Amino acid sequence: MIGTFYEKLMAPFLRSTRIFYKYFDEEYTYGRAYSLMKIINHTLNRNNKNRKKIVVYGGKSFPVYCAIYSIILSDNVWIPITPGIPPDRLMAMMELLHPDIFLYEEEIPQGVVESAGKIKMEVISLTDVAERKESMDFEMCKYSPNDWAYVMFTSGSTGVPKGVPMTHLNYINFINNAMEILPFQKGEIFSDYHDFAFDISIFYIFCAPLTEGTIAPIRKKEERMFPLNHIQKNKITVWSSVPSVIACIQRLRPAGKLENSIRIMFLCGEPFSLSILKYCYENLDIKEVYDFYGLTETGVENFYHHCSIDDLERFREKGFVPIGRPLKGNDIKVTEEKELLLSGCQVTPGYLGNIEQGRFETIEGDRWYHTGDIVEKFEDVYFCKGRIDSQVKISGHRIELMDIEVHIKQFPGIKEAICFVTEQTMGVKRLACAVETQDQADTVIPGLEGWLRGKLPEYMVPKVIHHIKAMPTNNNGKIDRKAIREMFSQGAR
Amino acid sequence: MYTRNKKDLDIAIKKIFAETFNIADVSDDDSIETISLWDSMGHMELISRIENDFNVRIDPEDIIKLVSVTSIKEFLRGKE
Repeated sequence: MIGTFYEKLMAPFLRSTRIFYKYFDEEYTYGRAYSLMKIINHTLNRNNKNRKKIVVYGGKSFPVYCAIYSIILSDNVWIPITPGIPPDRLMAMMELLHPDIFLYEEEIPQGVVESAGKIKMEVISLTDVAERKESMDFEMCKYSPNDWAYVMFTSGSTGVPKGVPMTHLNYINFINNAMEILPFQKGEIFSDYHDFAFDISIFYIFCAPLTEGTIAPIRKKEERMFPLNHIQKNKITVWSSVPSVIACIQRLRPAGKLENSIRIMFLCGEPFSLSILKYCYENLDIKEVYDFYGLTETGVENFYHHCSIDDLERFREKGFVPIGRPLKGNDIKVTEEKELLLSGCQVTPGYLGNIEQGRFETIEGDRWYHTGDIVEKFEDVYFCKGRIDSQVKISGHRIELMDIEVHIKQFPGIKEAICFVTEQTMGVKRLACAVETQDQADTVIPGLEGWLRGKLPEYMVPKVIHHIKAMPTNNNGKIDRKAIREMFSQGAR
Repeated sequence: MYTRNKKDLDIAIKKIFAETFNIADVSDDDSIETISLWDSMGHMELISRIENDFNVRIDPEDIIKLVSVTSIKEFLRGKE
């Protein structure tokens, strides 16, 4: 099954004359992609055919895509890292992972090269590789279903990100489901909105070649802020993102029909409100809209719902689109506390460093993953109702609030820090935090925000920091998170 | 109608940026690329502050162009 999947993935690179990559006037065919993939393959694998863990540190350029396919097709392990990540966090990830190769296209933080010797990691410039002439054909490997294909990182409550390996079997089951469910046609044009390190990227990286489609990535901040222009100029036919991106378009263009070519809308990663669904139908005029639900630890997506116009009335009281029903190959259990447990071929073999083993439980011989998400069944579909812990989700990123608090409390003069989420207009969420200083002053702490930006990825830096004299406590003397959230729910940006 | 002079405009813009993005001293070189809090959500807050403070209406076509301090100042001067 795995070999057949990779043969299908390889086929367009060998035979198709269609455009594989398009960024405004920059276009590359599948043939051009294959030529560069062979050059990268030569560099990565000519001397050492052992399986390697290879970090790709780069944006959405044509060579980076080629590197990803080269790594996966030559049965190595791909580790996407988004450029701009704070150096300390990056180094903590490298120490956990022990990669063999660090392939970079953008300027790398100081420390990577220095520590490369210590962890025996080869640092290679992708720009240099792309200029080489030597190339090597791909041999079909004997992919083992349970070998790792990629590793993604998620936020961890100790302040160190958690590494989540995904096997070939884990993610291919999701892709096969997507190929079966979505009414793809040959030559679709896929948007690529989110970072590679956000696992929604798996969807378009693999579905695009399998439909002989074109990838049209969003690369600049301006394009991310105003995606409609990108959608129209590139004639996007398959859109995938978190629903907030559609909410951004809706805020800018609340009324009227918007010209676009999207046929398939794949939304996931956060609650999908009915007002966004209505907008998809009435203003964007999209025929096929889907809500997917899943976790990095369980192979990208595990549930799906094919929306219909009737959903607007059917789920009116809920206010949201359901996450629907499980994808093939996924089994579910709902505990008495309504926590969703997942089992089946998409569950990760476990976190790097064997941490948090308590999240995995064997019940009657089957291995189950505790998602931490609360679900509720309504008629024949499920709704996700929130978390059982302090994890939050913002724009599809799962964030452990304690991961941020650990770092804030390391800043000189801070005694206590509590992070929380404030809900903005149209359901858009923002991260905020309340800090108490050691001298209990409620004055501004200069430099805290900039310091955090040097420790955490941008999406984890609170957008607003409140200073309070003393944290409110509950009857047990514990800090009252709810009271703090309520204290700042009005007037917080 | 907006009738303040250049100095007043600079002061008003500085105040809006300070309050919207926690930027103490915004400069003409600042843009969405230099201010990390200036994301899609922040942009809408900024636009609504400008609309209120300067009593102007900004069309969607203009909203997507106002992505730097300079472009905002030019836009407002054009409304004079």
